[in-house]
Amino acid sequence: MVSPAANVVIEARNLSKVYRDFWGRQKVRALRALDLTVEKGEIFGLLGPNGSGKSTTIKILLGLLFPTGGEALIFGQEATQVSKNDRIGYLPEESYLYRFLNAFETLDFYGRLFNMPAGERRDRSKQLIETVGLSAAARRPLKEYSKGMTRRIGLAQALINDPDLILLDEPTSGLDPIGTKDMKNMIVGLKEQGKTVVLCSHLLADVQDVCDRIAILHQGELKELGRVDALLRKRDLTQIQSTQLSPEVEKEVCDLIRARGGQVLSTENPTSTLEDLFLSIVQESEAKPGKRAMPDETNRE
Amino acid sequence: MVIEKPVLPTWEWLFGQSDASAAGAFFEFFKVALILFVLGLFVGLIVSVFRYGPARGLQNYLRVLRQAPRDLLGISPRRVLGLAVLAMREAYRRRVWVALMLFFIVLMFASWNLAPNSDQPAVIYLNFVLTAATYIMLPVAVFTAAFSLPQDIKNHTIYTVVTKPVRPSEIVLGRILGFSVVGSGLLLAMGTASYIFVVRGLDHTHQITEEDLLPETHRGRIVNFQGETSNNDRHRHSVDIEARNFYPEFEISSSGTVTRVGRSAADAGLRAGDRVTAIKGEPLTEKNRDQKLRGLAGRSLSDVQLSLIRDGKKIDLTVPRTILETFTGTNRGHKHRIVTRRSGTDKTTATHAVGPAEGMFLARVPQYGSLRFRDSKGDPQDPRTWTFNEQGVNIGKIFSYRSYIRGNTLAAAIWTFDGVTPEKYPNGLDMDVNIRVYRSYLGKIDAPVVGSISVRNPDTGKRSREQIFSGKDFTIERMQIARKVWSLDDELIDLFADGLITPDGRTEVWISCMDPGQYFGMAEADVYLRSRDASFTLNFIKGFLGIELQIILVTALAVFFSTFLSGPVSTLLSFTTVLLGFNKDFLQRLVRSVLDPELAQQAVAYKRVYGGGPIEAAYRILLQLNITSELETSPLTSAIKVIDVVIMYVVENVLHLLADFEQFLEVQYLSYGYDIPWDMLIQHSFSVISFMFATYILGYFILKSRELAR
Ligand SMILES: Nc1ncnc2c1ncn2[C@@H]1O[C@H](COP(=O)(O)OP(=O)(O)OP(=O)(O)O)[C@@H](O)[C@H]1O
Ligand SMILES: [Mg+2]
Repeated sequence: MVSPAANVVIEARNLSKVYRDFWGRQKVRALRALDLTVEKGEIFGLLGPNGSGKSTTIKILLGLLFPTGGEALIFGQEATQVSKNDRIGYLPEESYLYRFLNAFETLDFYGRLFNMPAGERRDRSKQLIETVGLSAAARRPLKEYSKGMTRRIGLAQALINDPDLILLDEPTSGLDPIGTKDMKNMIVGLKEQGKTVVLCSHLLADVQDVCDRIAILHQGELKELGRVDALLRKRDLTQIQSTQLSPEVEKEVCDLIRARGGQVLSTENPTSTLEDLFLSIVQESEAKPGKRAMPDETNRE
Repeated sequence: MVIEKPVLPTWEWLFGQSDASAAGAFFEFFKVALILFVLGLFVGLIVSVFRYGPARGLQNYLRVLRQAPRDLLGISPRRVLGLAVLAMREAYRRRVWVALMLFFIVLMFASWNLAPNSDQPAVIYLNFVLTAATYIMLPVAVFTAAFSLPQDIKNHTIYTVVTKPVRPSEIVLGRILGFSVVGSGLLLAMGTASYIFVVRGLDHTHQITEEDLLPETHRGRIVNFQGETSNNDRHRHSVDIEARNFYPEFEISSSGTVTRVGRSAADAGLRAGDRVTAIKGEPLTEKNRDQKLRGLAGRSLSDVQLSLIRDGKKIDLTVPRTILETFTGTNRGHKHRIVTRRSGTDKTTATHAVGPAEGMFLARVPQYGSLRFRDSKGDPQDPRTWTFNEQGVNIGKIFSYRSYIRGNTLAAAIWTFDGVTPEKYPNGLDMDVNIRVYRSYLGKIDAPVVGSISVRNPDTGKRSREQIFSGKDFTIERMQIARKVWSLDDELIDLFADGLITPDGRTEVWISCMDPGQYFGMAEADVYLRSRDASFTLNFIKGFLGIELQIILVTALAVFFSTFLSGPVSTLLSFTTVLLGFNKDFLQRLVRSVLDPELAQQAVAYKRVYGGGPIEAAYRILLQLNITSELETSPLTSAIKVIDVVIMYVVENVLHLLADFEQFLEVQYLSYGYDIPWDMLIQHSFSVISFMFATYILGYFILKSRELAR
């Protein structure tokens, strides 16, 4: 069962999953006839509301669950093959780690599972702990970590083997906006290194910012699949943004549009998103510590 | 304790005896492995089809089989080590060290009131610490091992582990190893504490003062001093000092050179390096030395004349006899060395120095022989038919493992021993004799029944004169056939030089009963030779190794169950298995008794278990029938019996799979003072390793075919 195209990393063929109870009675049909391919070097987003089957898909791809129908191939191998794990990193929906270990011990442990020699493990752990910003807490046991910190060490754990394929289940959940931004940067960075990233989320902004292609799942069914920009572009809608526009000029413009047969749907002064505002406040306060941040005076009225 | 089944040499155990029909453990292992393999294939398919439906089930099943060889061979020590370290940390986090505290507390309480008046305090002390260690460690091992994997699955931490290149079998193996190391650490601490506790706890000495001893006179002269030591550790020892057994205070080598000189002898002018040529004017030669040296003994403070050569010059000296060495009587399983000194100046008092307890902690090394019988008319008997004929009397309900010989007849029990060499037995044959006495009439109940013992060369038939001994029931009598024994022609002859033992080291020991109408009961393991005792400390370590093996076995068992069951259920099942394993012997007897009662009645070392199988037993309870009373024959009872036989047949086969460790065998050897044979430890290690191997394989298949993210 070798995948035909060399640059196809993940291939799901007609994948379906039914959760059954011990006696084999059907409980939930979590996935129906999913067809997917993910190619090398792309960031692929799995989108969908809660319970739509995103995590289920990822678990099947990892071999943690067995499909009820169809098949899942990773690097052209069966998803249940252990050896594929050499090249995979996985961040579960919650960071399921040993709470009695500290960050170093955690990474050391997972490094061993990749058969990494001691020196390499040490270097890599140190570097990763720095990357995810946990240097200060590296010697504290994970049970004392906050949710976001746990998420970060979870990510570090997923990257310990410098994987070619990274599966992230809701990577930004529990992260503060900076963390979210870092995470997004990191994901883009991974892509730049030529890695393949599959992430799933219900936070549209995340997906929109980083993903090349997305699949939208709803109740276990694939609803949309395609490039993000293509999916989001609405061809008959144009937004004009401008500064120093007096109400008169605005009226003139609207009139002009109507006169030419167009339709003005709305005119408004855009507010920045809360995310943008929070980000700018934090950046300001980091630049001038101790002072109450006063970002962007011009926006206040 | 009587050792009923001597340990087989490991080679024979593995590959079977050349002549015996029983196959060796090695083949047994392959047989069981094959059965498990076929059974596993079958059960796996069934379970898979049940879980995932026919088509998918078969597909999953074939997939697991296809991936198995590569995974099972692709084991990485580093990964296993990582998982083992994780298991150790986990065990520590679960506070297994509390077990250690518990053990210390138990020891502290025990030190107050353990065995105050026991005859064999060492046995009780050893039994106590070993049992405490085992019973504390077993649950600890079961709990830590049984909950670990289910907990990981429940917390989903297993997700991050199995999505690494970890083989499921490594998860199992890593856990077993990790928990075993923790168990060993705890056992090491317990063992050290126990050793100190036992040795120090029983360490004591006594005092003897002059007032304790009363002189006994014969025709006006003092023959000996008798009395008791002071009361220490709740006991006294009898003391019997022979008045004519004092020696001058020096030591002499086999060549007659004085090696060490005590105070009084030095005062008399003796020096180390002097060579003694004559004692009391009689010259000392190579041949008569033993006998002449006896001449040194005499009454205290009397003098001995010695002729010496010092620096080439001949000197005559008189040296006073001032020192006496003897032992106290044996009490509570030990005795003490007494060194009595009389100083030349103070003629009235003697000082008695009492040494530490000796013989308390033994590691006897029994050498077993093979037993055959002569019947009352002196005819040889086939050992297999012997037990139940008229002469080798089977006395009713008593454990028919032993055969009985009638007193004052030609009946005899004959042990043949191999490998008896002067190097191993320089002082003659030391042996332990453990005889059952059956009295057909009571007579004086506390008077011993008299028996005789002799040695005979199996080739030439030359034999020694019989020595008389008194047989007491239920005691292990230490007997000695000295290096020099009386021949039938009243000559003192040497065991080895004068042909009582064949040149290749074979000899026979004959025992018979001399009281008419009384019987001696004997089995092969009842008489054994004792070559030099082994080190008690080493034996102690071996005993704890035995416990360790059990702990590892139990850990493996619990981890195995936890691959497919929840924590509590694995715990319960592990305990059940351990319990059954401990009682495997009984269960086998029970099974045999139902399947073939007549044979069970007769088989050596197998007591029949009365009351029938489970259904019959329940039926008897309902009708309030005695377990030995015959059931009336009716269709109902016949049906019950048939069902029981079927049940027991199944049980018998299940028993084969049950972890094959006999209950506390090492522990028993250690506490009753027998050297634990290395063969036994090696064989138990083999069992444990093969069990771990099975767990490794089975654990792989179970975890591999499980959806871990459910
Ligand atoms: N172990 C399970 N047993 C039974 N049903 C399950 C199990 N896991 C998931 N499901 C069901 O399968 C469906 C898909 O679940 P899944 O976890 O894949 O959703 P998701 O898209 O990841 O949702 P979320 O955004 O909340 O993480 C849900 O209806 C869920 O109830
Ligand atoms: Mg999810």
